[in-house]
Amino acid sequence: MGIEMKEVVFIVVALLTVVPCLIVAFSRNILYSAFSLFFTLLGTSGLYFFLDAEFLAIAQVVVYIGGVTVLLLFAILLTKNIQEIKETNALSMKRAYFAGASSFILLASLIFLAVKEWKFFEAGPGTDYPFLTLNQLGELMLNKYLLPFEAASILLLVVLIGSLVIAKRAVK
Amino acid sequence: MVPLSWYIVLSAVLFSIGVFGFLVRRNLIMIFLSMELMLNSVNISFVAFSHYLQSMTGQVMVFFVITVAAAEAAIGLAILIVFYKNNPTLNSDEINLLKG
Amino acid sequence: MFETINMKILLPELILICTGLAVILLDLVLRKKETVAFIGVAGALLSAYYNFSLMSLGWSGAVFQNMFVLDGYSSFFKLIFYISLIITIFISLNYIKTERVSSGEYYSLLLFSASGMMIMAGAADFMVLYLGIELMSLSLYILAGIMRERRTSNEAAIKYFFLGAFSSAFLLFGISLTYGLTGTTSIIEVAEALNRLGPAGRNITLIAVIFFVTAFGFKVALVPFHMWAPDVYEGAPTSVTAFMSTGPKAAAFAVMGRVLFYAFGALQLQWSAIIEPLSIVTIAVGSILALSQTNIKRMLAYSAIAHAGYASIGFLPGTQEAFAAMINYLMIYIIVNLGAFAVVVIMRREGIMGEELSDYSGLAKKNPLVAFLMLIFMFSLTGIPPLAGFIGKFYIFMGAVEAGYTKLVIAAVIFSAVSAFFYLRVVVYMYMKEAAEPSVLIVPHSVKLVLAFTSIMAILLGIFPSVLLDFARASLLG
Repeated sequence: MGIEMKEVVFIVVALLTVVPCLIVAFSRNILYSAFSLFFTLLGTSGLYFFLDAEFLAIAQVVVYIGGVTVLLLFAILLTKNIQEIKETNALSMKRAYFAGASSFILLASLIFLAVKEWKFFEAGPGTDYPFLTLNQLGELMLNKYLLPFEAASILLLVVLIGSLVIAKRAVK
Repeated sequence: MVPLSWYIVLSAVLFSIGVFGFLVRRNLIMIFLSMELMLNSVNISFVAFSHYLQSMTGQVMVFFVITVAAAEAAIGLAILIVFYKNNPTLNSDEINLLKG
Repeated sequence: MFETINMKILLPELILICTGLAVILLDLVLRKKETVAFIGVAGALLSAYYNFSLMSLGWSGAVFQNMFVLDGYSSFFKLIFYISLIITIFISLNYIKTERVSSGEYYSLLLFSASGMMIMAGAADFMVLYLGIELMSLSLYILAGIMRERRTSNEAAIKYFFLGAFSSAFLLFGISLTYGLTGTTSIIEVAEALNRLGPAGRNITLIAVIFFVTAFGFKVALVPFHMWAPDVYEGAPTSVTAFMSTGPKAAAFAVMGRVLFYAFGALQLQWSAIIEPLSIVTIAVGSILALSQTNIKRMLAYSAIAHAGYASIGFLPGTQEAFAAMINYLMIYIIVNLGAFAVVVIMRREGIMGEELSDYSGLAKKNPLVAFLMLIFMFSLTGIPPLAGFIGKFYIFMGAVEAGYTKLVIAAVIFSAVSAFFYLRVVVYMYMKEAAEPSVLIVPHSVKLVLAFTSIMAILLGIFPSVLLDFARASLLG
């Protein structure tokens, strides 16, 4: 059974996503975790390219890596307290068993689905999937998905107001 | 051709790691990172389904999830920093003014 | 290629959102801050007027490529949201002055949150549903933490945020699995696809349903997912707690009903089996833990948990009749609960927190009327006839007994009796104990109005039970 090139590339990209992900969840150094998240997000972006979703891949890089990760680093630096970081970064052992069990059940059931029921996921192809997704995405966004698009814009407005409310100085 | 189930397994693994991190971590920022992992894994599964079903809906959904995730990051970190200003700890075990 | 968009159906939501924007802008210009609140109320009333006149004109239906519907179901829930929003604004008028919260942002966030709920109730597509939930929740996270200088408020916001975001991730995974199986996110099309598939792919749907129930369980605070609720309810500003324990809870039930009944109707037996243990454990834990609380907000939080348990019994039979009983119950619960919170809000005065049960001692001497109204609300929450709360529980239990859930109903009735202990403890404090120190209790006019409305409704709905139930039944039909 020959392994195709594509599959090898997939495995490499997947590893690039999962390994930093493990570091995020288990590392004791908060900065390592934040930078690992950066790599996980980058790996995900690679997967999007793999799945012909170029626009999302770029959006992922711009929004997540350019926005969220930088925001996170700011938050870490603004709240950093060296003595505390060491203590708090240890995993909480009393919750570890419960967490381990529940996430294991979750994982097992999902993998069971993926392996046993995979054929249902290979349903017949739809029609609206174009070769280049960018134009199509824009058209859908302003046509079929206009309502969620507008809802998202209201949501961003709320976030704008909200973060000002949270961050501004006290009323005199 | 990479089978779809590989993507689903990958997404499941990421989601479970995220859930584990969320439950087990003490530092609030780390909990926040785990949450981002969970959202990210959902996005992977959406794009994979979208590709294999040849339907754009999944990609549009991911677009909104990314938007909301960024919005949540802004709000969440703002709340976190205000919280830190008033009581300098980010240890979730010490956040017990309201006994749970 | 662009279809002409029928904006009329979205008018109620648009009016509310525009009011939110107007409020935040006018707050900068207007000197008298009460005016801003009244603009909010006017906007809500206008929106309600449009919603129900559209309904009566027969304009109901789906718009935006079946992404959003205006039907009886969503209108009934919208009525709950309007009541919750308007009452919250009224009880906030004096409260936020005492707490020194800036009014413009506060009211506009309330309005945005309510419009999020309305989008949730009308969502016919998972995408819109998700964005509605996030619009509601993000506004609420901020409202919970709006008293920036107070540590309890910060803590409430943090806990609410993390648990809310956690549950959103579960919701998204459920949506993703459903999408993977059916190739669509539209609720109606999902139902059609599931019927077409028959028993094939059941495992996937089942896991998706478990994810959905988990996510909604967090939002309505069913028991294994309830741990955030008492802390958040206690730490958030009281007026926001009043809002959170009514509107958003009803909104979560609205989407839960929409998803379970309309999308996963084919799996009714399975999701009933999932919800059944959750509902009884929720009632038990909520009732028992409320017994030991000394803080009234915390007590009402556990009470809210227990009531979510009672309401979720309405899902079990899977019939329209039982579901009508459930939305009837929700309407009664939110009215009574808002009344109780209105009393809690006026107990907060300059320099007095008024959140402990001991603060209620001697209230009957200080202000007999308020004490009597609180008694009505407590009796109604317990479910003592002939008050509205009894009627709500009665119909829920009747539906469940008819469907054969007799043991569950017996357990629920027993816990309902247990709940009498903590509700009546408030009454005991008010009537049998002496006040520690004399202090005047001034009831603002706006709160008087709220107390009058809620108490009259609590009595009237108990005496004429069929009015609301018939309305609920009719709403589900059209």
